[in-house]
Amino acid sequence: MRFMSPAWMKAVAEQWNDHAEIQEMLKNFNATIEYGIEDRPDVPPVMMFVKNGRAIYAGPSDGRNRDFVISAKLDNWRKLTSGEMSGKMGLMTKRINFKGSMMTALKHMTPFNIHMNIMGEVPAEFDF
Amino acid sequence: MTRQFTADPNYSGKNLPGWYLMNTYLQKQLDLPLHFTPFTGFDEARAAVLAGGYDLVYANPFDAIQYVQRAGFQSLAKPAGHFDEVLLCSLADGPLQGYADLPERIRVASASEKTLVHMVGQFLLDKADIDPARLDYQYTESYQGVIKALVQGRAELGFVFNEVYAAASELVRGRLRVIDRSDDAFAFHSFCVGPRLAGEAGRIREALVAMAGDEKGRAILQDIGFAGFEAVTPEEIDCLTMLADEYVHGHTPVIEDEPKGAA
Repeated sequence: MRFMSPAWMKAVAEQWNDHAEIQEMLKNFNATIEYGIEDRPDVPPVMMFVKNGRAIYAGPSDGRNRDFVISAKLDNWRKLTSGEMSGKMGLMTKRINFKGSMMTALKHMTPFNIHMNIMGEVPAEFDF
Repeated sequence: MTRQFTADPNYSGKNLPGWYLMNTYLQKQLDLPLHFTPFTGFDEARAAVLAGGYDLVYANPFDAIQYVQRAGFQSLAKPAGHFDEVLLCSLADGPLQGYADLPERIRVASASEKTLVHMVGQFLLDKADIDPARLDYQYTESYQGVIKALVQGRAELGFVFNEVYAAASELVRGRLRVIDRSDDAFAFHSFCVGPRLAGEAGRIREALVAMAGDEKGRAILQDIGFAGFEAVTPEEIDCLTMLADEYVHGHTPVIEDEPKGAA
């Protein structure tokens, strides 16, 4: 499964929905989050729509308004998902390009890092 | 010409002699006349710096961003491996042992609404599903004031800055119960230099970063409660700026580029 493909996004969403800690911490959280690879414009962005903590859409970015856009170079995504770099470190060093509410990001930093871990747990092909 | 130095009010309140020693140390290291003036309240300190009366400031995260944006300051160095965190405290011998014991109306003591500590304190309450409509805030202008409000029974909860809690006496800490705490490791205080000292920014940063390697410097660091200082990166300031713009100025971030999948 290719990293950042719609199928991979769906697999991430399934793990998100099965993760008890995320579900508890984000039970009042609603957002549309788009993900992209900065140095691979040939790879279309994917997105996840979260309602009351549950991912109810995962797949290609479909044109709806985004609350957050998270993008990084492929190598930095690899570091993030392997755990070599934390989500917070990625934010603070700008190796993750983050658009959206920084207050919300800070408030939900723990689930954000869990989200990054989940991304790393879904097997993905990075050499494409 | 003597340059003016001040520190975030909670720091000067915590260990005032240490900050005067810091002033003397920097004067000698930099061969630069410096005069240290402490403040007791956040608003007074912020207004004095923004009015142009200060050249070197040890500032809390949101004030530092305001000084950068509005008064031409640069953020140079921050405590090494140390971040601003919040402890949500109640009185140790009071009836509150946890969120479940909170009364319908909750009096919350906070030093200042315009601080990161206040913002993160609100996050803690929100994450615990405490309805903001139940909260009555009292602003005390200092963290010592927050502790005093708890001890005197004027508040059920207080937002206490981690540094202030750590530096408090055992007697004071013993009177507080920590109900919750943040662990964000995101925001930090920093030394900021104003326009009149801009030409000395590099030397000041070097002197601060070198303190931990110097015997006299280490003694002062111990006095003011730090292991050392490290350089602040532009990326860190960018992140804090995003946060401050949103919280202090109420600017809601707008994602301006078109959604990629738009028809």
